[in-house]
Amino acid sequence: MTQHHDSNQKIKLGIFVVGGLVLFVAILFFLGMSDIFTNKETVRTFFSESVQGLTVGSAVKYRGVPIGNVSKISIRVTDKLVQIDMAVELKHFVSGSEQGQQRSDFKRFFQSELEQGMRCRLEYTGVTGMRYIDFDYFATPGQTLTEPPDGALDPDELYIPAVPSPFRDILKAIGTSLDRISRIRFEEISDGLERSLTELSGLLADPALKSTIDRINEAAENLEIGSRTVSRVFGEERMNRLMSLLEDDLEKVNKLTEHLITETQNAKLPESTSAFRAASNAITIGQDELANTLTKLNQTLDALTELADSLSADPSSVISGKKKPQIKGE
Amino acid sequence: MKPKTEQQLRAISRHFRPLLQDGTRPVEFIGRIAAEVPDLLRHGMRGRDFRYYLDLCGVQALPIVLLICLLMGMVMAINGQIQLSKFGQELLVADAVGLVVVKELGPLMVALVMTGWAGSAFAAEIGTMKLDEQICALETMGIRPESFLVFPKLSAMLLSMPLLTIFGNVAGILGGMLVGITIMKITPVAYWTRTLEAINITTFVLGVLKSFPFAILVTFAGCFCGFNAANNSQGVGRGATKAVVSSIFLIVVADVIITVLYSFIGY
Amino acid sequence: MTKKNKPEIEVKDLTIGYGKNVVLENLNFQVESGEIFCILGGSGCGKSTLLKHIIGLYAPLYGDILIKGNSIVNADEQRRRKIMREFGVTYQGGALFSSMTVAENIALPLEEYTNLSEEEIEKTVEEKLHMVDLDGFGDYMPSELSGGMSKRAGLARALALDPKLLFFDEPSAGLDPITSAELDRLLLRLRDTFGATIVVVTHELDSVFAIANRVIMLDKQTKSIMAEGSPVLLRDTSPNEKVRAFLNRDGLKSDVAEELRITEVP
Repeated sequence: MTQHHDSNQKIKLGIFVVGGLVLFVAILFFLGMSDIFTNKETVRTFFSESVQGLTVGSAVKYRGVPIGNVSKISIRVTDKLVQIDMAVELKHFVSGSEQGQQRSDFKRFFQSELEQGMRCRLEYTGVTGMRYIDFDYFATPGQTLTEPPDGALDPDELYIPAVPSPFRDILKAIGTSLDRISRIRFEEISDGLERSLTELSGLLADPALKSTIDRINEAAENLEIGSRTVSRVFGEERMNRLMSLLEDDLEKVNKLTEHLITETQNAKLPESTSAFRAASNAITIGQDELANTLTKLNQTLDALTELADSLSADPSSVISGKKKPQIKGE
Repeated sequence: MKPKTEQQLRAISRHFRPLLQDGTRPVEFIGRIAAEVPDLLRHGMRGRDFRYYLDLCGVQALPIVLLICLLMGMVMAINGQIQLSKFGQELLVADAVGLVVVKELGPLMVALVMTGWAGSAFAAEIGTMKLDEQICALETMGIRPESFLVFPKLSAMLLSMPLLTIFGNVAGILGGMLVGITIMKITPVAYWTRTLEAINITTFVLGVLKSFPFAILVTFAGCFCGFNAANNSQGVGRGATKAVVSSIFLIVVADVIITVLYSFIGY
Repeated sequence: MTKKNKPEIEVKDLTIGYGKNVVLENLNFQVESGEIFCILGGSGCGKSTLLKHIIGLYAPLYGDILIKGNSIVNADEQRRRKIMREFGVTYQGGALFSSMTVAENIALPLEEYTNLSEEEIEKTVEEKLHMVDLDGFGDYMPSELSGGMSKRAGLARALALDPKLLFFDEPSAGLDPITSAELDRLLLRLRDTFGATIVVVTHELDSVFAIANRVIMLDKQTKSIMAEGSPVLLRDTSPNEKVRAFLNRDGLKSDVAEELRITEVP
């Protein structure tokens, strides 16, 4: 009887222990051990901007469909780029062919998507500041792919270029505007002026010239105010560089004005009327050109100021994108 | 004046001495058992006793553990549904139930059930053995009663409690799922997916790990109260009560400490 | 009875008690090899407590106890357990481990302290069960045994390691006279066939006169030994009236009868 009871008890104990352990393993499997057995492909990208809000485990989506997670975030010391490795689960991509072909199918699909303009960028998941990586057509089809940084890629790793996030876009737009401002050819203008002035030597009793000088002065003032506004709004180093450029130009304009005044004072009388007319015309054109440019510059600066003000007042508008600030100017 | 102060001091010390002794006794008890560990490793223990306690604390306790955890899961799901439906987020019930069961309630409920189930049984058993001079008999046979009686219980508990916790976790989640499917009309797949998303391996394993200290506490409290029960039948009864009350207290305190420790590593 | 030079047990200046309550003080006696030695005394005089001190369960307040020349009081834990293995103790209720069968109870010390194979242990267990007339009860659980059977099973367990020194705590308490007499015969057989030294705590006079070579009587009032010697001699010739009264239960009975008669007759 005890023998029977004994073996009965042992069977129950065995069921209990084995059952518990099987359950344990099953739960571990369900909770992610299954990761080991799922087909994955690593996709790598690089961000030059801050990836604040992105963590290991953050979602990776293809046009809104979750297809994987961020598996590693690291910083390349050589160029300060943030390297993001994403594990994309192949089960999310259904193809007609067999299991074994999944991987090559995905690679082909990925390549063709890249050619059609698929890029990745950081997106906000909500108001919490957490981010995910979105794959979407952020570039125009057929646009040339930016090459990955040197030595950043293993042979069989996939690379997707990153495009700046919407917020980054805005900053870039501002940057371009300012770049364009810096490219205004003050030098050419002033060269033209100087050239005209040399031709004009002696003809400067004309009242029109006087008004030109006034206008140049006015323009110089405008430029100064503008540059002050810009440096108030943006403290960035790049801006400063830009400002110094502007200031150089300003100085040149000032010098030019001074030169003009002295020339005027020492001027002889005009030699030929036609020469005078031509020179006078050239000055007028140059002056109009300058006035035009300065108006535009003013507008740009106004727009930038407005944008900066609205950003500092309501940063979330950029995140949520509800109230997209328009960039005027260029 | 002086004799009076001395008297008062004596009176005070008389009151505090038992407290002090109460404080050192469990420590001494643990020390005795710990001192026997090398001997245990050399001689092993009686397999029959181990199997008996594994049967008592594992197999026989399983139904009640499953039932209680299932009901707790259901209760939580119903309460969660009431709150979360205000925000139209009923599906989050799966997250809430899964996380709470795996992290906290599963290990805790199992420990509390085992306190009543095993802790009191240990205390009563050892108390009766003491009353019946079985402890003396062991001692005069040259066997240390502390280790002889505690080790099989302890090892059985150390094996059965984590297993019961795993079973309890599953039962709790199933309870929540039952409510989710029947009352909230969430599909089982959706519920299951949400649950798996809410829990990760670390949370689950850390939850199960909690049951090891709980097992030790329940066993020690039960055995200690048994060994220190007064030598009469009322004493045995009081010993069992004391075992339950003190191990519930110890479990809750341990849970607090463990939670704080876990928070250091970010869970 | 042949007296050997070295006594089995030597109790020297022993004072025992709980905390500050002294139960017995200044006890001095010896138990000689091969005798049945009874500790007598009224209820609550500390017989059982004395026994538990002798077998090393309790530490005395003062004094020393030597078992086969080794002090059980001053021995460290390791050594004390070794001394303990040399004797067997039978407790009042048998103190069988309730979670094991009778056979397992008897086998326990064999498993713990010998290297016998399973078969040898089984054989020894059967032998011991036969010794105490419990053949075939090996597979019983202790709860299935009667009081007398439990005691005998406890004795069988105490005998498992073939000790030459045995202690009995109230062997005949709660037993009917016939069972009690059987137990007495068993003790005599153990002494005569195995040369065992047996210490018995009891207040059953019938068994005392039947088996005891020597007794000591404890007194609750004086907390000391009232008398020591052969029970028959003490009964008949003790100068102490209390001793004679204790051992002459018949006399007491007749006194009572006389009193009853006196009150009844008028």
